[in-house]
Amino acid sequence: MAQDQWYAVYEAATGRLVSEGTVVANPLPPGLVLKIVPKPDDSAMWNQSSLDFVPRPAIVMVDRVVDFSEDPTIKSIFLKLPLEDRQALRSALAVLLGRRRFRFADQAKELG
Amino acid sequence: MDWPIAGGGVYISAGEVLASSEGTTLDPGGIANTKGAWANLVASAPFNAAGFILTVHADSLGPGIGSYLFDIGVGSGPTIIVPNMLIGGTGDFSAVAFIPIPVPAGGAIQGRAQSTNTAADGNLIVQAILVRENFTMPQPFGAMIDYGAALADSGGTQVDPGTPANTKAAWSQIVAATVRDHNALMIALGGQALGKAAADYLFDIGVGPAGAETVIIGNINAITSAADDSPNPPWRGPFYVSVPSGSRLAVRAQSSDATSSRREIDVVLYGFS
Repeated sequence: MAQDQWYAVYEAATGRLVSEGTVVANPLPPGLVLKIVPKPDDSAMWNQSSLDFVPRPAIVMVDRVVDFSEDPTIKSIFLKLPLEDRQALRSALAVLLGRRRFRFADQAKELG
Repeated sequence: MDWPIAGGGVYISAGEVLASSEGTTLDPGGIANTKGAWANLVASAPFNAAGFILTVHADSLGPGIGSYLFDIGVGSGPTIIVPNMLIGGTGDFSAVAFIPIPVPAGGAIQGRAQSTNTAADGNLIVQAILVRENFTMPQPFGAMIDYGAALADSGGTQVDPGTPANTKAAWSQIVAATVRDHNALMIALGGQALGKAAADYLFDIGVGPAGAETVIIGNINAITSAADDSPNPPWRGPFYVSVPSGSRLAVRAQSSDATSSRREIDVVLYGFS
């Protein structure tokens, strides 16, 4: 085996990735299969259906400024403001939130 | 007074800045992922040290948001004795470890860093507390070698805990063949500052070819939080294990977070000889 060749080792029955790298057991333990693949970068993940590395799905982030303006209580007040004031409020809130402005979709709205 | 064998240590700090109550600033400079200039922790080590307690944290003036690799060097040159230590996250990260590498008396101790963060306030703060040689100290090692550091993104080798949650995923190769015999290993974890969930992790370090790895250090626990994506604690070890030259090292993980593009952790291993 070429030392610079990248291998994926996966379970034959499930397609589940067991290991990856340039140095592979010879012989492989029963039930494992070897596949030559391009060395994946950090943006790739194993897909056990296609038996290949595929791009990772983009993570979905939610803007806490939107959380604020969509809150039922705040929204009723918010909509009474002139458009330019709404935008100014959004901008000020974005500055105040700083690096806590965005959250994952499965995270709580509240700042912990 | 009794004089137990384990006592009698002498410790001298290097790198403190009394005027600002902090350690020495390592400025990664304005070029991403390129080592910045060396900064002196101390101009002259006061004694032969058997090792040192290394502390690093983000600059309180501007919490570091990025991934960092930093070096510690001694003497003129300097000679790097701690290569590419991984640290990083999105908040006030910090780490501490005893580094069993000797420091000769009389020489300078310096540090330098690189980062994905090129902001003027994205500095690291480091300090070394030197431990003087004495008969109770363990014999220090002569070299510390890094495996898996990724200079291009100031990180490490990505390890994916995969799915399902709380189940060990695939081994990621950290190095195909160690370059010398090692008698201890250390692991450093990083978050690449991409954001993390509140999650728990367990990491295994293994030796052997893909498909036949043997766990030599198992279930090293760390956590991440939504506020600071630096895995905590970011450093663990040294673990006094024997790894022959030419060994393949790999790491695998499991996590309570199964969301891709968020669960992945950077890993660098360090071998002591």
